[in-house]
Amino acid sequence: MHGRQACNSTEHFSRRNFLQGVTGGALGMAGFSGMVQAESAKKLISQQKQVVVFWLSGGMSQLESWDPKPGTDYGGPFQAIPTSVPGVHISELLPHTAKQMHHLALVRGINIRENNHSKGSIFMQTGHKETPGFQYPYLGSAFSEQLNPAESPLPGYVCIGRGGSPKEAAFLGPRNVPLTLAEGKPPQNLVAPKGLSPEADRKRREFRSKLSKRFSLGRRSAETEIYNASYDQAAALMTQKDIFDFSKISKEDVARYGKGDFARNCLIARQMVESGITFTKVTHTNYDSHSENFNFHLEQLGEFDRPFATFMSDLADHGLLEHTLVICMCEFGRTPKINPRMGRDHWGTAWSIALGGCGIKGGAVVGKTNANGTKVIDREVDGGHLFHTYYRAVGLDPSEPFYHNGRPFEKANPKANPLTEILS
Amino acid sequence: MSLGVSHSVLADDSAPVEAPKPTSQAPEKRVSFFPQIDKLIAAGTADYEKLASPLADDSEFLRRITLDLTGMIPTTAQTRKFLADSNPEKRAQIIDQLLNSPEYARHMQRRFDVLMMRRLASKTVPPADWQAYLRQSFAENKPWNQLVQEIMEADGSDPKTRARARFYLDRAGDVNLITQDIGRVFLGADLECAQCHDHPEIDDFKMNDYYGISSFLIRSFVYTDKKKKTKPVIAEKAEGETKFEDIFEIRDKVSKGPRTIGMTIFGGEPLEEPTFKKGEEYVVAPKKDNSVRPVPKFSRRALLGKALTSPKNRRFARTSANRLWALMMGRGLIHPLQDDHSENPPSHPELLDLLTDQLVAMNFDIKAYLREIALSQTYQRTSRRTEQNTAADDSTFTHALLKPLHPAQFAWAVVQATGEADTQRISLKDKLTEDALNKRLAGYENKFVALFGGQPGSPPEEFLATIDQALFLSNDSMVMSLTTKKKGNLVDRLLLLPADNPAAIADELFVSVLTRKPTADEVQDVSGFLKDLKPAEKTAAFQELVWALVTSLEFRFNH
Amino acid sequence: MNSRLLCALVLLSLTFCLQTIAPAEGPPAPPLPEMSAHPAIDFAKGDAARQQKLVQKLTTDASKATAAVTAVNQEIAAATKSKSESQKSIQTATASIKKSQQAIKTTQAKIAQKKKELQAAKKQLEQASAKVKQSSATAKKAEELLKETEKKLTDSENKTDDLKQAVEKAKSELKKTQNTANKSQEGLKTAETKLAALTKELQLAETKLKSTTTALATSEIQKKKSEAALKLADSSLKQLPKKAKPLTDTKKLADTKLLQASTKLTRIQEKLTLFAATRPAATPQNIRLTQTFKHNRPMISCRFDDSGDYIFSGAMDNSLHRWDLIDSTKTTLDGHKSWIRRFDFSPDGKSLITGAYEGQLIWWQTLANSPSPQKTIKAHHGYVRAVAISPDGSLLATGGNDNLVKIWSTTDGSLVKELAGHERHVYNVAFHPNGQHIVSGDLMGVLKIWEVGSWNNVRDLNAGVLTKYDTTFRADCGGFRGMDFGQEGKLLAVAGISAVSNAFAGIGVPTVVLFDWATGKQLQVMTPPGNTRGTCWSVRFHPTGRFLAGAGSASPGGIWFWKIDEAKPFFSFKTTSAAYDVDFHPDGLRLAVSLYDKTVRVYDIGPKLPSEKKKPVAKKK
Repeated sequence: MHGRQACNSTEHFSRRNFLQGVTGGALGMAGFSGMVQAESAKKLISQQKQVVVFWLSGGMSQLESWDPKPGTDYGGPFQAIPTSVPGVHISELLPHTAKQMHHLALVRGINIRENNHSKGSIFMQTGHKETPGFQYPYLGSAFSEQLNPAESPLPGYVCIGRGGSPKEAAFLGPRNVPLTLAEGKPPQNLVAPKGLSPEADRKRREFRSKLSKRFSLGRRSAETEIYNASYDQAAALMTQKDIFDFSKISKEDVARYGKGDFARNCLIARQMVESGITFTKVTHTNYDSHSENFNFHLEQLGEFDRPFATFMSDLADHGLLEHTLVICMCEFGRTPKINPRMGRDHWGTAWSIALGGCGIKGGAVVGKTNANGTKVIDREVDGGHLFHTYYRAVGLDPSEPFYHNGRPFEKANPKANPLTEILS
Repeated sequence: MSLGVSHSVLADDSAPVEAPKPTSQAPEKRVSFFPQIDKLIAAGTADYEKLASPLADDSEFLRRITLDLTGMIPTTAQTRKFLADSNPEKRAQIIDQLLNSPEYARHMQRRFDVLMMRRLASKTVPPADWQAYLRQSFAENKPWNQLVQEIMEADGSDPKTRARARFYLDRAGDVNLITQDIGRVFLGADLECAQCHDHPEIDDFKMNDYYGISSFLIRSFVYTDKKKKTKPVIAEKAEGETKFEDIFEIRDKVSKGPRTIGMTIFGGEPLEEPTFKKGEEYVVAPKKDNSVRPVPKFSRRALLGKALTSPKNRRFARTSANRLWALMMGRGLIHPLQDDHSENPPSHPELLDLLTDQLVAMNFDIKAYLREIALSQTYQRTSRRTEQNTAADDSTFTHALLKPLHPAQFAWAVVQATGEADTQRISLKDKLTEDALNKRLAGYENKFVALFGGQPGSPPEEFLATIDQALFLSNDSMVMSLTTKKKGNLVDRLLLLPADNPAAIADELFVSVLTRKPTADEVQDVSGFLKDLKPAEKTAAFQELVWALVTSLEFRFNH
Repeated sequence: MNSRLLCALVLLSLTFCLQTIAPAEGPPAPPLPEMSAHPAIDFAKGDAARQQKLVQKLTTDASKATAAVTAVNQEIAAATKSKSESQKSIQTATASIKKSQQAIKTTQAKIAQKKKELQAAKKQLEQASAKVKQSSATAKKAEELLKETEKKLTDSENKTDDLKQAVEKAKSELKKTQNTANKSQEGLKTAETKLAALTKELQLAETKLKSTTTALATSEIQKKKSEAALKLADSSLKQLPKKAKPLTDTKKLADTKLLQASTKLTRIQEKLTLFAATRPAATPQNIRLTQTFKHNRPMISCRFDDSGDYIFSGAMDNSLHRWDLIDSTKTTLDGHKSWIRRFDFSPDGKSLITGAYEGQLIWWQTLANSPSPQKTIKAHHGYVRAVAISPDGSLLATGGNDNLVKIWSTTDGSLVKELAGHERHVYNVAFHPNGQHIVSGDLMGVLKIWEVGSWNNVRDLNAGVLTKYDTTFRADCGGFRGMDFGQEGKLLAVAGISAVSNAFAGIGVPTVVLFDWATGKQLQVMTPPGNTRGTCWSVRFHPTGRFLAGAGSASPGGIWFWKIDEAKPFFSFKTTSAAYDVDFHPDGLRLAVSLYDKTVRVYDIGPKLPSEKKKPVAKKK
């Protein structure tokens, strides 16, 4: 199998191959071959698996969250607090999350050798280092492709908050493009225009497709297929618009999750999981605290902690966690060294993420950094290992490649391996 | 700057169509070469004649050429007029007419703006100024090489021509970014990989090629006078060289250390460079406190435009010929366009040579060049495949390719099809100019671009059809408003037709939206759709029909 | 330590030290007035006294050190001497040993020789005695023969001649043998004498041998002894320099310390002279570094105590550090679990209350040798960001991340009042000098003014420029980094960052906002020169209230001095790195900043001394 390696790798594709790989015409076909795959993927799993990613954009400080080093030269002013898992301590900025630690595993030995926002997020969200001229599907699109039933009327990938670009789907096609609920609002235009009865709507769509069928005689192509498909998907989504009706969320829940956009987005995410959305990404911005790292983390994590913790406990209480993988990650961590602006800078060298739920051993901790957190001293891993772990957690085999135009594309870097220590 | 003065073919169909203004180099003075185009295309595929689809009918041709040259569909009246016209020269005439319309300039401005600026966010140059500059250039049919040269030479210091410098300034003078986009846009070469190492698979793309271009720019940077708070401009130092080392060689420990290269464009001798005595390199020497914009006696960047567009650099001519071809045909002879290298040979090498030679011979006269392509049979074939060519690869050009409408094209096609454009024309009355109309309808274009235009900096390279787009077209109030009855719009016109004459209704509907007369079956469908309607339901029914046509596959593509 | 009490000590010590330490420094200073017009003079006197103590201490240190060095040098000398001596005695011993050994050899040879001779002599003796036996036997035979012959003669009638002849013959035979017997008797006698002589000689030789052997033994012992002595001397010669090195170093150090201290003392003399002559005034333009206190973590706060004898500074290490301004000794106050950004002194200077980011307050004895927490209370949920003690010393006001202002009794640490009203983190609190109001400021630039006693929120001021919601960052950024009252409370200054263009990178303008307390009118928005970017981390009024100083981060950092009625500084000073806090010494002629580069630096802004004018210190500019 031909590896899709980074530009500086020995197995380096000619641009021609790249572009045959990704451009135009083939797009829809990828969709089709993809669907076949999704079927085979589903054979592997007993039931519908779901995934929720909390994307803390800008790069959350591991020292103010998952891997505190109080009292050391780089530790900062915050304390470490015990959690629901004996012996595991996290930052005092996450008191509620600490109580949910038994649902979460920590990966404390991440080194992605990238300190650049876009390179970091590509590595963490595609499992591969940035590859000039080629793009791997993002986690959301990849899992939408593999876990969302082909016949499902639901979008496979919903993104709540900022981010969620169509590009994330790469060659997996429009079917796996994130449906973005910007600012936590439902998708626009979910409701048929006023005065248009369902009957009339049906009629006009029939007329539309009749015409279109006629046109595609002798002109059928992947593009024509996709275009027609998009109307069917839209119509299907309209029948599901209730899942985007957030008015039903109870006052009690709102009170439990607390104020703010992120709290609201967590409630929306819960509703997405309950509605069976395969992959949900909740973004929380922004952690890029080059200045006033401690004041800003007080604010950001103040927003994050309670809603996230409540989300975890709700999923656990409703039995959703068993088949829902929750990943809390960002593009990188932040420098141990505190800069003169009381800030911390970009740091891909030694940082942490948390994940839990489906397939994950709650309370497990893997990887270790040194006393003041400047380097990984045990079980160093990167985005590749993490991708293997995500795949295994939801019962998929990352070694089975994507096929696109009959060409195989690795799902996860074969040089990396899963973190079995935290897999249940 | 107003283009309104020039007569707009689409502005007011009731007005008599002026004789087309001669293009900058009158066609009659030049021997047309479009017959060779067809010859060489045919030569490219065995039994081409057997395989080839027939020519498109007038409707298909009119819609295609109007979309390709003006970015919108013809008005109902123009379509009717054209279909009725029995003049055998009418296709040639309409081509010239469109080429000389202000819509042409606007359309080319949009296409080349996206090509060159990738919808990058505006930093220091208002996109409107830059677009006006492009539009003006296409309106006066400025030779392509001259246009490129102007952009490459601009430094933004002269307010009058500052807009030209957007290519540099809104890329913040980032040498790598600029080098890569120059390679991609003007040289058909995606050189990104060559930034770090010779391309291991493509012998033609070397670090030397990458840094040969960079070395024109390596001394340039964006200068702002912090004290005076002046607008940023491109400035240049008198020293500085590219430095590069192949990371593969470093990895394999065979690197002979960092290299450098002088000003070269894809091989060839590095350009000469005068040397000055220490301390005499500057007209305006830089100051420690950065209070002046340095000006060297010798500017490397000033040479880039000439070097790039020089006849010696065939790559530029070839890339330009190929790009303009693709603009019309939906596919390059070299495809993808930025992959002009020995491992990706042209589908029709001789044709590409011919086109390249011709483009150079006609001094990069874009209008004249597009005209030749438009006149070719290859361009004018129907997009409907025949039984013979169902299997034929797109690269054979046995049939016209479907070209998804670009966001702006789509928007303008929609406002024209639904008659919103007509309503605005009527309301503008004698104030009607292309510019005025454009201002009135720009809102639609922006909304479509926002939804279909991808992320800033990365317009979609391929056709995307997403749920939210479909939802937008299905339910969005703005889209729906286009089908509500307004003076002179399509629904309005349909309502004026006798209800008992579905044929007439179908005819107006199809001609207006799809630029063609309906087939018998379609007339049937329409009358079926309208059967036993209560008068109260008429409007709604028409709206639904208009919607169905506007959202149909046929409408979404330039076929 | 109060400055009045100092004066007494001063006059004594001054006269003393003028003669002893600084005779080279020209004529002694003119007599000093008992009470002085300017506080700086009292402080200078106090400093002089303490400096003098230090000098004395250092002098003793120095002499001790010198003594130690001399001692060790003597040891070295001794060792060297004993070395050479033992070497000599080893030589002599070796020589005599050789001699004895020689003698022993020869004696032994002689003995051997004599023994041989003795053997020979004995043999001769035996032979001689054998001869004697033999000869006497022969003689006996001859006698008997004679007797026989004579008998025959007598018996015979016939007396014949033959018989007569035989008798004659026997007679002579007898004579002959008797002679021989006599001779061998003599031989025997000589042999005996010879033997006796030899035996005597042998005895002599043997006694001699004995004596030489004993001589040899003694000199060998002597040699061993001396060798041991040599070894000892050698090793001590190896060791002693090692022992000497630190001592000499200590001496050098002590000497330099002493020198510095003395120079400093003379400086203070100079000051006193100068101040007595002309009333001293603070002149920021004269700013020069006088002391640098190094630590191993960035320093985030600093205050001089009221005695002016110490500088206190909180570091990014959960401790407060106290440096003695005279002898520079550092004392660390441990007890908090996080950073100490704010602390305040009781008016009597005896106690000190710190507040730290773990939410606790700790009471300390300001001047205890090694202060330990007197009282610790959990004051706020989250950071304690602000601590202020009331002018009468009875109350303590604190503010923190629980958006609360809390009032405590300084005596027992009991909560007096909880002031709710701020909607965001409380960054700073201060008591108005008249003790009747408290002002507290939060992240949103809101200043709340509370009436002491009724605890009503009597009015609010707003320094809106010091806060901003960054829409990209989606966070509020700003708040009050510094707060100070000036001119007996007529003016209130607050510090922070304004015009934030990028909250991520903290790109904004270091800013001080000045309010008129009475009217609440915003008098000035003060910013550094040019387009300085950064944060103003602290602001302080000069004791005179004529100008104020802001310190902050600004590539890398700076101290800015603003006149009360001007928006731009009349003087700016670039610091070595970001400055997080600034404080004026109560003498008004010194100021300190705590810096990111892990130092607290004390600067003099008083009048230039004659000696300084001679060789002006290089200005960092």
